[in-house]
Amino acid sequence: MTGPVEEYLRQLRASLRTRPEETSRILAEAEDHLRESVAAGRAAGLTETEAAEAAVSSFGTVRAVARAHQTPRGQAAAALGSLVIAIWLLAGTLLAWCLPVGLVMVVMIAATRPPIWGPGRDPSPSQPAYLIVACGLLGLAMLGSYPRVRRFLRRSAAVTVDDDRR
Amino acid sequence: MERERLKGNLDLLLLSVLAARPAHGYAVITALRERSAGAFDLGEGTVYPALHRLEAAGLLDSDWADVPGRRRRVYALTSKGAAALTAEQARWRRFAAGMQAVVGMQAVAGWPA
Repeated sequence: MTGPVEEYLRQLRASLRTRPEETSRILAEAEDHLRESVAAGRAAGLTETEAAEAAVSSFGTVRAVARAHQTPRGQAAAALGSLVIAIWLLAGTLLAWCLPVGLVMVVMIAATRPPIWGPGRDPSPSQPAYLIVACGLLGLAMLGSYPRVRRFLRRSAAVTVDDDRR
Repeated sequence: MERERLKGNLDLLLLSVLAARPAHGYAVITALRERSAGAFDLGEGTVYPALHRLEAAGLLDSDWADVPGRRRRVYALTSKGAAALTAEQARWRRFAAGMQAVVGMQAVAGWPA
């Protein structure tokens, strides 16, 4: 069964933007602290659950603790990373919408114009349509690479945090 | 406000507690609370980054100690930390004396001497 302490440590692990060795140390110290705090609560007459909840509450919110482990430079790097991630997602979504629009344009042009290949072809009017389709494909590629970009930027922010600490 | 003021003096408080003897984070926080009669009650999890920062600055040293079922990081004052503590204590005494002279009880009209 997962208790409040285990759940807290799980959330803290997910929220920390630090290098693996630093994360391991932070979690080990947090676990030691919380276990000792629970033991003190039990000694004071609380039930196991009450003591665990009190220990977690006194330790501080996951957000506050994770943030406290970031240096100001690391926080700036994380904020910049979040901004880039948001712009990447927005641009990818907007560009992806170009794909159906571009495809409709290509189909309409193909239906109303002379053939674009072969003798008598007239590719020029449909070039903007192909450009729009290309933008759509670019958008899809951006959306597809979004998880990797997010991981990369978060790792970069973690490196900045650690470099700053040295 | 109170918490912010406390954070501003956290380094001095941590160094003072660890000057008595090496201790792990929980013991440091408990000592802070007990020695201040409950007045200094910090978000416990935010004390560890301060300990890490003081260690990175060379004012503290730390090492793992084994306790049943888990690991424990124990912090100790370095000689650089002891020198920094002495300097900070002198600075604090001057500051406290100045504050006392300006806003001390005797300066407040209506307060009994």
